[in-house]
Amino acid sequence: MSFSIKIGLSFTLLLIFTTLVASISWYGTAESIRNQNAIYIFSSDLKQKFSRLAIAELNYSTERQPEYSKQVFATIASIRKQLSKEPLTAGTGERHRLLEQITSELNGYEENFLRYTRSAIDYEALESRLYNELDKLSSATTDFLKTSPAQGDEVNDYILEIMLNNLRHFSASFVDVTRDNHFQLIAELTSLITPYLEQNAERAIQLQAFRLNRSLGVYKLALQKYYDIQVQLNSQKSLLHQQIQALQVLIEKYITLERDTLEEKNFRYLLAALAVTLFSGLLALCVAFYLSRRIVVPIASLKQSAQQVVKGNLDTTVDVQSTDEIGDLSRIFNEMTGKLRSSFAHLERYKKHLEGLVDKRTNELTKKVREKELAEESLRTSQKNIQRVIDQIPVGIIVLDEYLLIQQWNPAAQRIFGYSNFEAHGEHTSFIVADEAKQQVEDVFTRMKETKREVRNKNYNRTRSGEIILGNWYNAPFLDHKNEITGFISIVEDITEKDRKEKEHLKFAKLEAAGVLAGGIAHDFNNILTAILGNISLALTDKELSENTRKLLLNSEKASIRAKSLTQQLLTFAKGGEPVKETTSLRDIIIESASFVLHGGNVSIDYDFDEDVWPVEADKGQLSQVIQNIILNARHAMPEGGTIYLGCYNLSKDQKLPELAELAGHPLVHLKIRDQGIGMPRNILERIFDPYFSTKQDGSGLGLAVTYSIIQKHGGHISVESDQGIGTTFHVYLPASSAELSKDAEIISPATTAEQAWKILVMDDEEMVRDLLEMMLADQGHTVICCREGSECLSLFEQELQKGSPVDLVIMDLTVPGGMGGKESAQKILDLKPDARIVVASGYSNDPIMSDYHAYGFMAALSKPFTIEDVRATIAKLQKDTVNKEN
Amino acid sequence: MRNVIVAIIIVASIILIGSYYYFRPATPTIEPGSAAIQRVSLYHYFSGALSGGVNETVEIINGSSDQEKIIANALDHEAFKSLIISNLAKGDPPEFFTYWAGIKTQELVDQGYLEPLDDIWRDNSIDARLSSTLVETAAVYDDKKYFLPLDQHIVVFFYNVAVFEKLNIQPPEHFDELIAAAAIIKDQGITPFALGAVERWPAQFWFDYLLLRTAGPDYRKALMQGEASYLDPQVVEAYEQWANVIRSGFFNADANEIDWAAATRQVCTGEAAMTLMGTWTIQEFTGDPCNLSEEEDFDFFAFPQINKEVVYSSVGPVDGLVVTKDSNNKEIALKLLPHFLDSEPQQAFSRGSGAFATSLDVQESAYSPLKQRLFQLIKNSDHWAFNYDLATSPAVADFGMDSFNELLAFPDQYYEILINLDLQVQSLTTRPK
Repeated sequence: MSFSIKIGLSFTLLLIFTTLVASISWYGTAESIRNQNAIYIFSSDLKQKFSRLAIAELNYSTERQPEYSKQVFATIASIRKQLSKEPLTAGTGERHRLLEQITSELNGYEENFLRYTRSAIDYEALESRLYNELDKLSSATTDFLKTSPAQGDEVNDYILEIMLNNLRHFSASFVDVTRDNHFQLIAELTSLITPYLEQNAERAIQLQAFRLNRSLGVYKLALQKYYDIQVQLNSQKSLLHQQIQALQVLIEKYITLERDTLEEKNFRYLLAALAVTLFSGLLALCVAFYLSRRIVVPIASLKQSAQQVVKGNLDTTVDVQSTDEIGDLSRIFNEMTGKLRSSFAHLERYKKHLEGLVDKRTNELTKKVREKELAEESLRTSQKNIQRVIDQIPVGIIVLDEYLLIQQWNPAAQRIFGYSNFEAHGEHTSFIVADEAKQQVEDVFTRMKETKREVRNKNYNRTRSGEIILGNWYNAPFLDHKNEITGFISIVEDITEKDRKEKEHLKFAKLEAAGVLAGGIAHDFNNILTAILGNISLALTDKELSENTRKLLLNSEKASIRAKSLTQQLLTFAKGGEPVKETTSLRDIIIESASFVLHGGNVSIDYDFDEDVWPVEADKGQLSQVIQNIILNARHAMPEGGTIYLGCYNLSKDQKLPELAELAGHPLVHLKIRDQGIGMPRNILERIFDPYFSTKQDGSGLGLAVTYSIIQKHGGHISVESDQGIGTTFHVYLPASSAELSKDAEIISPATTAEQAWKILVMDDEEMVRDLLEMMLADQGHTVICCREGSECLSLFEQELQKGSPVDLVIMDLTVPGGMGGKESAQKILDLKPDARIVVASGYSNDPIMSDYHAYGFMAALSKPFTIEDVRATIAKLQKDTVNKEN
Repeated sequence: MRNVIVAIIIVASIILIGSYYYFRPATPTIEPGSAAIQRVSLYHYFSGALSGGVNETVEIINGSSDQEKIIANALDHEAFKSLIISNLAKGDPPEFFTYWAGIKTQELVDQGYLEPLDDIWRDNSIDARLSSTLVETAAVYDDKKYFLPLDQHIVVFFYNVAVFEKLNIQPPEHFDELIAAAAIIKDQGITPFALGAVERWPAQFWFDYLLLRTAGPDYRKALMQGEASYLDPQVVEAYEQWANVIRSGFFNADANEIDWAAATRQVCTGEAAMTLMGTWTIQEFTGDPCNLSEEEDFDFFAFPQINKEVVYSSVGPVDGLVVTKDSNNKEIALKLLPHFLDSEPQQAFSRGSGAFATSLDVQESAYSPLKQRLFQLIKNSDHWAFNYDLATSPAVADFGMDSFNELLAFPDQYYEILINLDLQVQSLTTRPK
C-alpha cells in the first residue's frame, strides 16, 4: 500500500469516531429529558389520585352514599396499579422498602375503610331501627295514656307525654344530644311506668304499662348498640385520617426518591457520554499514531542498523517486510552485512581456542586448592571429636610428661579427685596417691620406663577433700620415633563403691557357708547334748550320790550348758534362723546389755540418747547379743580401762549417707559405740566381721560375725571405722518401727509340778533321746509309749484312741530323717483328735515352727537340749491350762 | 494493516451497542391507573351468635374470581329489617342481600325492589340444583324467581342429654308426655323450657307449633293471610295451652330479658333441660363456651303431636339471596349469585351456621349423624311451614310477636292479649296478600 492511501485512511477513521461521539451525546441528553418528563407525570398523577381518594372518603363520611365508597376503592386500586407498574428507575433497597411500606399502609387503609363502611352501614341500620322503635314507643305511650286516665293520675300522664316528646326531639337529632342525657331520660320514663306494673294495678293498665315498658326496653337496647357503633365509627374515621396522612408522607418520600434517583442517573449519563468521548478521542489518537509509525518505523530501523554496523555490530539486520522502496533498500543492506560477518567469523573461532586452553589450566589449580582445604577441615573435625571424647568420657584421663608432671587433666579426673585442670597442671602425679600406695605407684612407673609397655594396677588415692578412694588405673607410655619415652597417659576409674560392694557380697557368702555348716552341726550337737544334759540332770536326782560324784556331774552339766550356748551361737548363722521380732526399745536393750557386760570392770559408760528414741522391730535376745559382742570387743581394746561412748539417735528418712543407700526412704535408729582403744589397721578392719577371724587368743571368731549376721537379718546395716591410737567406732543402723512397744510376755513359773499321771507318746528318731525322755517322764509318774517316726506314732495314737484310753500328750521331734516329721504327724493326729495335746521338741531352736508353734497346732515347744526341769515345767503348764479350761 | 482496520471497526461497534443499552429508556409511558376489581355489596343479618359460616362462604366465592369481589356487611339482626327497607326506599341499596323466604320477600316483590332471577336461573340450570318443593315454596313469587335459597333451618326441641338421662326421661312423642316430663324436671329445681325472647322472635315457635299441632296447616295459613281472626277458638286454644305451660312455671323467669343464645347456654349448663329453637343454635351448643358434643351431650326431638289426626308439620325459616333492581353493579351480583349454590360454599355455610344446604350437590353424608337425623325429619314432614314472622305480614307479625312477650309476662290475661292483638290487626288498613 502506498503512502498516500495510508494517510487517507487515517483521516477517514478519525472522522468516523467524531461522528460516533456526537451521536452518543445527543442520544443521552434526549433520554435525560424524557426521564425528567416521566417523573413529573408520575408524581403529579399520584398526587391527583391521593387528592381524589381524600375527597371520596370525605364525601362518604358526610353523605354515606355507597357510590363514594366505591370511588375510594377504585382510587386505591388505581394507586396500587400505578405503583406496581415497571419502575421509573432501577430498583434500590430503599426504594423497595418504601414501596413495601406504601403498599402495606395502603392495604391497611383499604381494610380500615372497608371496616368503616361496614360500621357506617350498621350505624345507619341502627339509626333506622331506632326510628322504628321510637314509633312503637310512641304508639305504646298513646295506648297507655288512653288507658291510664281511668286511674285518675293525670299529672303523671302529662309528665309522661312531655318526656316522650323530649325523647322524640332527641331522636330526631341524635348528634345534638349527649348519651348520658338520652339514657337519663329513658330512666326517668321507666320510673314513671314502674308503679303501673305492680301487682295491685288494674290488669288492663298493667298490660299496657308492660307494653310501654317493653317498648322502652327495646328502644334502650337499640340505643345502646347505636352509641356503641357510633364510638367505633369515630375511632375508625380517626384512624383513616391518620393513615391517609401517613400515606401522603410516604408518597412524598417515594416521589423524592424517584426524582433523586433519576437525577443521579442523568448525571451518570453525562459522565458516561464524557467517558465515551474521551475514550473515542484516545482511540483516534492511537490509530493516528499507529499509522504514522507504520510509515516512519521502517526508515528509522534502517538508520539504526547502519549505526550498528558503524559501531562494529555486523549481526544486525533490518526487519522490513514492506514491498515499497524502503523494503528494497533494507534487503540490499542485509546482504552487505552478511558478507562482512563471514569474514570476521574465522578470526573469532581462533580466539575461542586460546581462551579454552587458559580455562583448563585454571580449573586444575582450583581443584588442588580445594582438596587441601578439605583435608585441613577433616583434621580440625577429628581433633574436635577427640577432645569431645576426652571431655565427655566417664573415666579420668591424665597426661604426664616424662617427669611425671601432669600436663592435661580431663573433666572426669576433676570429678574423681576434686582438683580442676588448672590446679592439677604441673603437679607431680604422686599428689593424688594415698600414702600407703606411693611405693606401689612408683613401682608401676619404674616398670613402664623399663618395659616401655602399659601397666594396670589398683591403688588407693587421696582426693582433694582427703577422702581415700580406690582407683583402677591403666597406664601407658608415649614413645617418639626413636622409641624414647616422651610422657605417659593414665586412665583411672573410681571403683571404691564397687569394691565395697564386692567385699560385702563376699562377706555375706562366707556367712552363708558358715551358716549351713553350723546349722547341721548344731542340730546334732543339740541331740547329743540333750542326752548328756538330760542324763546328768537325771543322775543328779539320785539322792544317794556321793558329794564328789555330784560335783563332777555338776561340772559336766556346766560344760554342757556352755556347749549349749555355743550351739545357740552357731544356730544364729544357720539358714532359716530368722529372728523372732517384736516392737522393742533399743535404748532399754542398750542399757541392760551394757550394764550386764561392764558390771564391775574398769571401763565406764557414757550414754548419749535422743529424746524419744524410735522403737525398732527386733529380736531382743539377738540384739542384746550384738551389743554385748561389740562392747566386749571394746573392752578388750582398752586393757587399761577407759570410757565407752554409747549413743542412740533417730535418723529421718531423708538421710543421705552413701553407705545407707539401700535403706534410703526409711526412718532409722542409729546405734553408735565408740571406744578409746588402740584402734585397728585397715587390713584387720576389712576382716573384722569374717567368721572364725579373731585377734584374741581365746576368741572363737564368731562374735562379730554373729553380730554382722544378726544385723543383716534385721534388715539393718553395720559398719566400723578405726583410727589407730584413737579408737574404734561401730555404727549400727536399724529400721525404725511405727508400731507401739510390745508388752512383756507373761512369765510362766517353771517350778510347776505334775499333778496328774498322763499317758504320753514320745516320738524321736534318736534312741538316746527317746530313752532319756522315757526315763524322765516315768520318773514323774507318767505312762510312756515310744516310737521312732511319724507313721508309727500315728498308728499307736490311733490304737490307743480306739481302745478308749487315748494318749494325753504327744512329744515329738520336729525333724526325722527318712520318716514322717513332727509337723506332718501333728497335723494328722489333730485330724484324728482335734483337741490332742502335742509338744514339739527340736534341736533346731531357730526353726520358725519353734518360735511360732501355736500356728502349727502344737501346745508347747521344748528346745534341745533340755533338762528334766524343762520337761516337768512344760507338762505342768499344760496340765494347769487343762484344769483352767475344764473349769 | 487489514487486521488493524477490522479491530478498529469491532471496537467502534462495541462502543455503539454498549451506549445504546446504557442510555436506552427505562420508563414506559405513564398512564392514569384504573380500578381493575369490581366490587359489589352484600348486606346480611348473620351477625353476633348467628355469624357462623358466612365469612368462609364469601371468601370461597371471592377466591373464585380475580375481577369481582363481594364486600359482605354483617348487620344487627333486628336493625337489618328496617335498614334494608329504608335503603330500598331511598334508592341506594346494596347489590344483593340475604332475606327470608315467604311473606317478607313477597312484600319486597310487591313494591318492585327486587330483580327477577329467571335468566340466570335458566342459564345456570338452577332448577336442577334445588328441590322443586323448595323452589316452589321459597323462590317463586308472582310466577317469577326472585329468591335464591341459601340454607334451610328446622325448629325442634334441643335437650341436655345428661339431665334427661339423670331423670330417666325419654324424648316425648306426645304433648302430654312433654308436660309430664316438664313437671318431673321442675320438681328437681331445673327449668324445663329455656326461652330468650328479648328480641321477640324466639318466642314465636311455641305459637307456631301449638297452632299447627292443634288447628293444622290450613287454618294457620288462613290466619297468616288475614283470612281468620285471632279470636277464633283455634287461636284461643293455642294461647290457652301456652299460657298453661307458662303458668305452671315451666319457663325461665327471665324469658323476656335474655336472648336466645343465653337461653341455649342455660341448657348447656343443665340449668334448663331443653329449648325450642332452630338448628342455628347448634353452633351455640358446639362452640365456646358450651363445647358440647352432638348426640353425646345434647340431642333433639320434634315438637310432640297433640292431635294425631292433624297433618304433621315442621317449622323453620329458609334464608336466601335477592338482587336489588336499582343497584349500580347488579350485573356483577347476578354473575356471582349462582356460585352460592356451589358445593364448597354451601358446605362451608352449613358447617358454620348449623343449617342445611339447599343445593342438591351437597350429599347427605356430608352432614354429621345428628344433622342427618334432622334432615330425615325435614324429609319425613308432611308439611313445611315458615315461622310466624315469615308467614304473615311484617306489620301483623310485629303485633303478634309483642303479644307473645305479653303472654310470657301475663299468662292469665291471654284472652285480653288476644283481644288487643285482634284490634291491632284490624286497625291495619293494608292486609297482606
